[in-house]
Amino acid sequence: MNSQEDIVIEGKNNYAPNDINRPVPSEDNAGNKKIGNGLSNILSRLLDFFSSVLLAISLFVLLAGASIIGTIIQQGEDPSKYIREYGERTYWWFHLFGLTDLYHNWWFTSLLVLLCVNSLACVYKRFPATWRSIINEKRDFSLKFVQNLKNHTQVTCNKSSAETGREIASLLSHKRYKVTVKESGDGIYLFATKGVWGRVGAHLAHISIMIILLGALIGGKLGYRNFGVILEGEQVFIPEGKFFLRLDKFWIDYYENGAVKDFYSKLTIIDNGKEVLTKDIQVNDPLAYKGIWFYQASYGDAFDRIDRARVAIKEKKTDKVVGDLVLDWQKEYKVPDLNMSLRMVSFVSDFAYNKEKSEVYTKSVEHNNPAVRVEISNGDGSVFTPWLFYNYPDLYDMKESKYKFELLGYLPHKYTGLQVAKDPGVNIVWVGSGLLMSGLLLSLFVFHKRIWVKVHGDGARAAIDIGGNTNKNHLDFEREYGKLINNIKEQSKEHKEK
Amino acid sequence: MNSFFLFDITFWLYFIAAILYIVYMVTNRVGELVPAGHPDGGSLRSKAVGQIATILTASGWVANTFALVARALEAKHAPYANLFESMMLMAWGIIIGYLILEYIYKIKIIGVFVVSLGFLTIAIASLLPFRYQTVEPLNPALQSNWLLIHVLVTFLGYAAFAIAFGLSIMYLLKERAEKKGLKYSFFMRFPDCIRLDELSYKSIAFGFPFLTFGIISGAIWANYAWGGYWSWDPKETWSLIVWFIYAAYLHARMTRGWRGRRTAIFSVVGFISVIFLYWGVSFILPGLHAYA
Repeated sequence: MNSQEDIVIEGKNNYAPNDINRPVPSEDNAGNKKIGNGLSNILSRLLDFFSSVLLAISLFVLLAGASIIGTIIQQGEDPSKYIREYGERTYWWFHLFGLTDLYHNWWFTSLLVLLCVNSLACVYKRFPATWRSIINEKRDFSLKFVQNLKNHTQVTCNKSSAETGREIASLLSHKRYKVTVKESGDGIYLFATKGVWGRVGAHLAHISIMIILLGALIGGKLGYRNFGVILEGEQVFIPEGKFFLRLDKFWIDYYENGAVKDFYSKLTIIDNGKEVLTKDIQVNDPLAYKGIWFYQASYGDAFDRIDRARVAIKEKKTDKVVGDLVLDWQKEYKVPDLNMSLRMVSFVSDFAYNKEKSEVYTKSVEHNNPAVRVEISNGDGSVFTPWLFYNYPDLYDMKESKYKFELLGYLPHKYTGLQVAKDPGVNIVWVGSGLLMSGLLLSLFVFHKRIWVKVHGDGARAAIDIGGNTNKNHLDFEREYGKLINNIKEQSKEHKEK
Repeated sequence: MNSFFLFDITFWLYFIAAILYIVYMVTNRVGELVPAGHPDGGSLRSKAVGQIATILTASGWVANTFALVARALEAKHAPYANLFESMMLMAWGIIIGYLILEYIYKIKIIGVFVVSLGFLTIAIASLLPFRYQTVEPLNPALQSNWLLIHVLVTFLGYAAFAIAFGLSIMYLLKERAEKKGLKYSFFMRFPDCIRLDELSYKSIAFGFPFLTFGIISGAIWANYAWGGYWSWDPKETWSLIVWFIYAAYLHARMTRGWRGRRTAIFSVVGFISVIFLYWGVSFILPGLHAYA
């Protein structure tokens, strides 16, 4: 006969396979049915509400829905942009419900707080029972208890009860159950348990949510995120840490195809007048000092200075190049042959001229119309300060001079873009995350399985009553239980053959 | 060997395997006494077809593995740094998940839905424009060991949800056939509803910690690369949305005792949001994850 059928016939398996939509008795309804006085009644109803799974499910769905809205409506833009895109009336509604900063508005935060309250109330309500089941395993039981279990099987074998008891105990401990054996006048009582810590999993996961949100709250209140740029050689004061940060060097690595491979900043921390720390940071490798982190975020060309400029000097009449020199920023450069000296004094990346103030300024930070101002001192004492335009070499003509000057090229001065962040809550978030992972793994993969066995009989024959249950994952447990029964049967068969 | 060649081999092996699983379903006449999908069911011929399908699937998975390894050697970084590569990883995850399911539960008919999902993933990837398929050097933000862990874990999670989706679709079809009393429908050859429901739940229970760790590892990485563990970037937000949906599913099933139709629909909705998280966010919503 097929051994699997045995179990179905012998065991009291009431599981109706077709009745799949039948709800499993919900743990929600268990307990808390006592009718107390008014206040405690209200409190217990409140606790029921705040600890209910239905609330949890509703909150998950609401949070998911709200988050979707937040990804559809661009967050944190300027009001004028929303008015342009959606119209004034719609923006009014957006503003009313805080939809333009959805993830930080009052109602989204309230949902998160409610989720916290919900998970903590659930721990508060259920943990005592969990704890009791952990410390008080049901080691003492009666035959009737075993026979009333949903999974219950009776096996008989031709062995003494003492030997059978030993065999089953070793079989169960081989399957990693923790076995307790009790012998009494009417037989042997075996209790086996494993995976009891799986029951703690859900509680850990619930507590972890609060810890993660707490970490986020601390980070949000006490931390900050800033962005700033530093030029090479420049030193900036970091008020939050009361120290200085200096950019020693910035450089870029390229792939062969010209794409940017990585970019680096050599940063030095100067605290109390002393250089305390130097590090080459790059994307994915920040510098941390006194809890403040400096991240390599971006880079760019300065709009108001350059490192070097290449200037050609031509004779007006012949258009012959008589000088080709590379000027360093604000350094004087002598040209003895022509009896003059040149000095680059200023730079703008997008030249513009303010008539009223008669001032040169840059229209943007883009290098659209770069121009360099050069101070040219001639041997006769006369000084000119012309602007040389990279895009328009012939624009500026110095009538007094027999030479003309051309800006052939320049090396931009790079700045580094640094993200500066301090987050005192981040480690709390990591602790919460670790707890969440362990809670999930325990709750989803470790199940509390218990087997109760009573062996009783007279000398040569023994009757075995086996029963078991689990807190979750019933189908797998039934499979495992079936295997266990088969093993026990095989053991009794072996004996028969001898 | 060239990774494209190996991806092609994988494509064809999964393709033939998926067809053979369908042939297996069609030819596998189920007797009164043998439950649907049971290894003892069906004729010898259909059994042979089923065996070949499994062998091809397993070989396809080996080819898929080699293709990923070859890609890693060619690119000199984790072989899942662009859309095409990540789809290869997803197919790899779906197929290994299926093979494990078949090994444990011996129900080949699931292959009709799950192996074809794996094939579909590869097929869509192969339809991508060629410039999406080639090896690209890593941009600075991706140059981290977290790429190896974060993407792998996340996609194993996606794969588990894909399997759960396939099983839930099977559940819905079977339940409908049962309700309508369609005795001779192919859908009646599917495993018991209770089994489909349970396996779908298991896939989600397996995928959920992967998704969670995917999010956490992403947060750790972001904390190193972007200067903060959470920025409400669309990818981050959608991963959280998917997390909320499956968290609701698990609570509904484990504690409220939801079973069957309701959870199957939940699982389908969950997977649709996974697809949006994967494709929709990359193509529709701009953000920091723009490269994936």
